[in-house]
Amino acid sequence: MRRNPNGTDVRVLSFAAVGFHGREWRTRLASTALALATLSIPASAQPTAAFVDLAPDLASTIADALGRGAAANVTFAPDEVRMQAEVVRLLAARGIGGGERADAAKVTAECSTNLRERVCVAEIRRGADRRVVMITRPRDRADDSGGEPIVGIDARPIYTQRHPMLDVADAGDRLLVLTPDSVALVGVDAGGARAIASQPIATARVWPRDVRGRLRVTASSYEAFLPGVTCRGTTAPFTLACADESAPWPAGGLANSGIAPSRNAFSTTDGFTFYEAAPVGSDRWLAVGERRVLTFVDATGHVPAHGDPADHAAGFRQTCAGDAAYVVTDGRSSEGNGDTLRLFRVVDTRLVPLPSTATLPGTLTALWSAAAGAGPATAIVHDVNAGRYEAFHISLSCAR
Amino acid sequence: MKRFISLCLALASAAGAGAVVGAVRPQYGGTLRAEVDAAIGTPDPSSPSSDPAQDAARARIATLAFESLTAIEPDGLHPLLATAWQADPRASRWRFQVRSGVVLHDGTRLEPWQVAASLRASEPAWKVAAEDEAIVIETGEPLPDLPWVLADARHAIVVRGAGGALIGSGPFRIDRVDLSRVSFKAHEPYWRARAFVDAIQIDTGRRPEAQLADLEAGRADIVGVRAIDARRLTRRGLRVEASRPLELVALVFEPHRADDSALAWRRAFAATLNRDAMCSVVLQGEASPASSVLPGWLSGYARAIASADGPRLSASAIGALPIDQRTVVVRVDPADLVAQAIAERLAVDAREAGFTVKVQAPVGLAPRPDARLVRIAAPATTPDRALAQMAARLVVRGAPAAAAPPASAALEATYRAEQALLDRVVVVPIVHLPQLFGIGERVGAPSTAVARPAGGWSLADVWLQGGRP
Repeated sequence: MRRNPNGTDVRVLSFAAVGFHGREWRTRLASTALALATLSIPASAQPTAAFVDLAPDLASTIADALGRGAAANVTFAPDEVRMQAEVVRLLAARGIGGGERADAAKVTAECSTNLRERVCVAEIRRGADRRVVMITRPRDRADDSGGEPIVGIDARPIYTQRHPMLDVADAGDRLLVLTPDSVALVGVDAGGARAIASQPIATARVWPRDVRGRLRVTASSYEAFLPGVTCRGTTAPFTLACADESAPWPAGGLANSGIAPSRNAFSTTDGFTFYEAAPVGSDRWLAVGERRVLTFVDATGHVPAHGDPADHAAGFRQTCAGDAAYVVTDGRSSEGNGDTLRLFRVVDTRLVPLPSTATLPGTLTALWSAAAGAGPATAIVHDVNAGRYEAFHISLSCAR
Repeated sequence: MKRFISLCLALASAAGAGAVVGAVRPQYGGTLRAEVDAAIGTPDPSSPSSDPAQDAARARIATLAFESLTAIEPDGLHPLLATAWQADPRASRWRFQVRSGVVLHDGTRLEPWQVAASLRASEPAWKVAAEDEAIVIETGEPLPDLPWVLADARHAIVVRGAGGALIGSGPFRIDRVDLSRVSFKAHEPYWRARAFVDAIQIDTGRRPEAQLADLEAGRADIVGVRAIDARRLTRRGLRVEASRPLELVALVFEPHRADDSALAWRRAFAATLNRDAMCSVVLQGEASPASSVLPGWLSGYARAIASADGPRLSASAIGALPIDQRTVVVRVDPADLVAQAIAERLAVDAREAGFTVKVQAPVGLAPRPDARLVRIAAPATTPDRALAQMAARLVVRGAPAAAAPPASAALEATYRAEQALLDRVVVVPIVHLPQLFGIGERVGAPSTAVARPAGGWSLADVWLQGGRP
């Protein structure tokens, strides 16, 4: 409905006079490929955020039906966790919560579409009483095209070598490559990558069996972090000096005291042990904890995530998806010997799987998030069959 | 509700899609041969008919030659011969902008006055007039869903030429109409680009068995397929394409079984239905279990429809019933093998609960049945319009009249009307069926599906292998 200058409502549906010139076979075939790809997407991964704008109305309607002071146990379909979280939050703001109470109403809700409108329906059961409430919003193609963004994983190879790598970092137009023994400065040009210079890591320490290392580059200087050893140097001239000292590592921005000399895990100041940390918002992380348990960490404490365990996690703040947070974790590929990166959207304390994966050529040995998730993560992969280590930049691509 | 189709239907569709491989450049030329089971008489979409099957077949064929102002697609309403529209606040006076540059089958340009004349012929109660590059429709009563109404095939724009020739704007022009065949030729200056094939011939009045045989023998390229035959085709390497669910199969109890005193009995009988088995076994994965009249993709609320809960007869109570109370005669259309297969499965399930079901497919006089198995088309339109049309058809087939939702009703009113229709368990939804098409080997790997999701064909996009480049 549009409101006329004279104040009357006029129902207006207008469409651009767009022709349907439709025999462009390449486009059609591409569309078919996309359609078939869509068919192969698990149902649980269907985007549902297109309904989140209906959450306030739905919560209000449910609240009106329940009455003040009521308790409700609200459940949506498994692929609508984001909607469920939003409705539960809005109901709680209206004083309705307490799903564990014996007298709690059971609210089963679902959102869908028909040809004319988007629909959210809630069935409210309280004892023998049953009531169905629903809210609708006219459907238009702007809704369809402007809904949940399509987010995918991009894995871009940046460097390969036969010897073990711990981390790789950009240093201007060159790369710094950290190994257990050295830091190398690598030039990359049309002819490929070649080591320009190398500086040994001078230390008397014996590395732990699962040695880990991290680089941090700031302007023309850099730091290399190893268990119980911190090295500092410059790229021009290329220098390096190491000392037996523990320092906080750059671990996705999560404060830590570094890795102890004979260990492979970090500790936070309150004693929480973690292996990697993925930033998932302002002052919030998803950390790989002990026994591969993914755990949300923020100022209020540690909460296990609802999701599969993993050895690695990286976080991203994707601008095209608004303020949504995404994480990539690892899993064993069903094909071949490589690991697979899996993409999730972070919703409250849940990891909602998205239909995007990337198969790596070997075993993922490290996955380092950029500070605050503002850039690509760095993945180090050991390709046992090819006998080499490969570094990748992992980022997200986004489209609507 | 978002997953409007059951797993088995989804898997079947995916399997069908899996066959669509090979990015091959489409070829122009050739004559496409299709078959339908109904005899259509005339392809004039506004011609009245009392046979729903004939209506459906005619609507399917008419879309080749005639286009409407609007079109319904899976994502909602789209402009077609109209480019924009607006209504007054009462929604009783509408203005539709007519697309310019549309060339009719006689080579002339489509003019707004021709659109107005066509709509006056198909809907005499309306006042329709041309106004500049638009038409104005006065419906008298408010009709907020008019753009949806105009998407119906019967409101397709037909220009009547000399001698009664039917002239349209669609991708094919009518070449010849015989008793059992309608022939079309490609409309070269079609505004959405010429179709791939040169011609289409559609044989009408072909029995399903004959269509199946013709497809397998290579005598036809596209035929209608029954769900019970789908697996036979896929095993032979032929493609089967499905629309979204567009038909309801339901059990409707006869009046002597429909009073309130038999409510617990009906609930007990309805509870014996094993819809999943019917879907996966009898209908070969080409159907979805139904607990609502409207398929979920048309209503958006299907899972909120309450099933036949409430007091029902126990197994021991059923066993204690007199024999005539335990025996249920279900009448099916003798020509409908799909309904018969469903009824026979229904009989098996009911027997386990203590009922004896006799499936009656009479060709002459037969004893009074207790229930009928009916098939009702679910039109792809707004929920209130779809439910109103389906409820009307159910009443014709013996269901008690139920309050239909008001025109352009809010969705909640439509939901209540549907729930009320089902509450008395006189109408028991069983499965939703899609339209199925068997695709022959000559049809090239399509860049778009032959079966339109909202029903009907998309033959302008079909191309034939072996056509001239």
